[in-house]
Amino acid sequence: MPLQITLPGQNAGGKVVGIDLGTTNSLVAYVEFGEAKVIPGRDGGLVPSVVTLDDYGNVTAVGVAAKRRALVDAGHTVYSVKRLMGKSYSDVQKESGMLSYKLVPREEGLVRITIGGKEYTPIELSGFVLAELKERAEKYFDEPVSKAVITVPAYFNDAQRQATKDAGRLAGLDVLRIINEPTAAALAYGLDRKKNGTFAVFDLGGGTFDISILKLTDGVFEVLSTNGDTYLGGDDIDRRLMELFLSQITRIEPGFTPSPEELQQIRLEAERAKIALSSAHSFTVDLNFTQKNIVYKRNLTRGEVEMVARPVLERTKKPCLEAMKDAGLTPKDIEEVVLVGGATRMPAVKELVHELFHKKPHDSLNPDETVALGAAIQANVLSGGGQDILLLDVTPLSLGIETIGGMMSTIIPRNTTIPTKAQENYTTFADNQTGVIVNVFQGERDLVKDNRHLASFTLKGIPPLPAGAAKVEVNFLIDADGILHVSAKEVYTGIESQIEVKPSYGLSDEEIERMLRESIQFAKQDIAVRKLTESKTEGERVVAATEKVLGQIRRGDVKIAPEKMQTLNINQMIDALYALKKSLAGEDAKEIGDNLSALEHATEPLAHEIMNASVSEALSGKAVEEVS
Amino acid sequence: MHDYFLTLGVERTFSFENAALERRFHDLQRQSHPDRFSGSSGGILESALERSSDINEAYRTLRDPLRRSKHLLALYGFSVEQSKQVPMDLLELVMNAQEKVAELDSASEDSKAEILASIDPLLDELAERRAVIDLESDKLRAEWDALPSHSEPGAAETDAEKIILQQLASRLASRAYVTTLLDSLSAASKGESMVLKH
Repeated sequence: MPLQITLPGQNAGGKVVGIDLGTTNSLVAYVEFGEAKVIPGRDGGLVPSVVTLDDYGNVTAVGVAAKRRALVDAGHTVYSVKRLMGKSYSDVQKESGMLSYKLVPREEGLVRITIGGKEYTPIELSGFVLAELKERAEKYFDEPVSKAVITVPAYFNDAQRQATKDAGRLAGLDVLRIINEPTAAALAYGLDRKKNGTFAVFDLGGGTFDISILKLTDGVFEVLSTNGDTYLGGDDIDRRLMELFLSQITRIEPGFTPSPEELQQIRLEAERAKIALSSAHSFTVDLNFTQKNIVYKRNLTRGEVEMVARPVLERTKKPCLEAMKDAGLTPKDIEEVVLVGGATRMPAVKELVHELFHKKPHDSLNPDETVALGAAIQANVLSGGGQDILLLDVTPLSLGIETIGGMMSTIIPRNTTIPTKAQENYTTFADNQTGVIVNVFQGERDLVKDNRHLASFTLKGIPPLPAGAAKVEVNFLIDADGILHVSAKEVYTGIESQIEVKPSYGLSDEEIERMLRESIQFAKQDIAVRKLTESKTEGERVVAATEKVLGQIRRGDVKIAPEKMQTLNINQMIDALYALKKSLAGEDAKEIGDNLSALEHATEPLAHEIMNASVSEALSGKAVEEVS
Repeated sequence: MHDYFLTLGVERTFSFENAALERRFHDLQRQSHPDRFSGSSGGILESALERSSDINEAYRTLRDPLRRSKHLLALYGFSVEQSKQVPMDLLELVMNAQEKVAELDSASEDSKAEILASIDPLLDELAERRAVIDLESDKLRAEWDALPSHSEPGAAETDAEKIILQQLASRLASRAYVTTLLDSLSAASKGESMVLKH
């Protein structure tokens, strides 16, 4: 009987939501009365992962609204930023021509997107999508939501995982756990089935592909192996269709160079055609570039899309075979294959999976929602519910360090169950050397240059000793989120070394802290601006209403008994009115507020008198309200 | 050095039952996995992370017969690192193999087929040698498992224990040598690499 441990620290207070942060669409889900469900918004459960910003860095639209903006304001609208997470400019340069927003052509570090002269990291932009989902959940529950489980592709490397976690932080979320998308899907699927056994999750989303093989034993979801490609998905099929349309358009109209908006128009039509042809057999592509007086209309068949998609889909084969090999399994050992991700709706994908695993895939799940539902289930587990469920995931890529000759020395092999740790010993090669640099990589190749550089760890504060005498013990730990932590100590003296981490394709802790500080300051500024605007509007409204009533009294439209006039103290009212008018010309919200209260106080007897005198015919009901 | 038998709370034997080991692993992870302590203070979470990592590593080691053997031997101070020196009983085989590779290297296209054909029996002999080593190793493992009790690692072993472990360690070292030889030779015969590594 497993021991049940409930601690006072368990996430008792506050709801924990599950978020699927997708390349194309995102969702937020929650477990209510034992059932996971997607939290709906006005436009349904899916939030397109699209953000529109103005020139001043304000988010003006997220989701469906932003997707619409893309057609008229492409340069300010970003989509598919998940594909840029943990990437450099040169990594994504080749497809930047197909993007309607601009990347900053700078080689080093994490790629940046430029909008209205301001630069953004994919982390910040993802943060905006997460903030929208957070807000959606808060509206739904009518209470603040600050904790979340966020999903990532299983094949995401350390930098991409950390980037996702940082995006959550920037959105004001405490990310309790990063879980792998296929594992989340397995959770939703397995719990539904309540059946032990070995199954595979084939997850082809908008931008990423994952294959995971899992074994379910009485609530324990143990991932045996995972593989994938974080740059392979439905987006690639869309892009190839776009290229096809474009080449045909330019054949008719040789001078045609699409504007960013037109590029968007083509992209959305390509996406629509792909989706339609999953159920229909033919589709009429209809592109009308009104400004250029160009119409592109053609019939597209499913066969044609499948031909265009084939090279993309072929790329899913190798990861599947490798995952089976790593798990030591053959297709007959795998009882079921579950399809997840919007792109698996394509009949060609189902055929390919059938061929690879020698069985008809299971496609009854909603491929758009399953991952979010799984994230919600895990969120519930972390809140103290569903304690019989346990996820045991693996690290998708081998972790290694650079050794002599630029060789990769693997210290944690891929598909090792996490959390896991490894230890390496370093020594100094010069007398009184007090620092050591450790370069950490992820990947399967023999040479570090062919693998992904994660970070440089500089160990400092090694006590000065003769060469070779100091021995630094470095501990590498990959936590349950698949994120690397490094600590070090000098063995001889036992002194903890300080570690300076320089992530290659991410943001340092300091940068995140600065962004958070700025966003709080920015938010404060935002609040101040909003408050000023609000008090000005309110002030102007009251000024207008007061002047109207005073005018009516002067003209005799509103009659007040002369003995009453004395007690009303009209002069005081007029003074307060002028004070407010004067402050409205300035920028001080507090002064406006004070003068507003003073005027309201001064007009109170008058409002009372007007009400008493039942002269409401002279004033509309609204005017009375306004005066009081 | 971690004693992974202790971590999982199982006996220090070579043989084991897969399902029982897995059950033990799952039960321990249910108690120790960091997800059980979400929202706890840093210290508690950190020790859960440590413990959970140890359990994972212990399971990874003990569920694999070869890793398990090496770990058990290492606990009692027997190293199975492949020695640089050729084990005496393999000397003739090794020289033969090296000769073939050298011949293959300098052979003309015509004579290659002939040399390649003569490599095949050598490969068979190596495979057979490995099978014999495996049989002997299994017998030694069974002997160890059949002992009425085992000394704690670090305490002085009985003579019976020492003999079994020592013999097993030397078998495993030979096995590693044969495997490397087999892999290089079969790669060479497929023309993948002409360098015989040892």
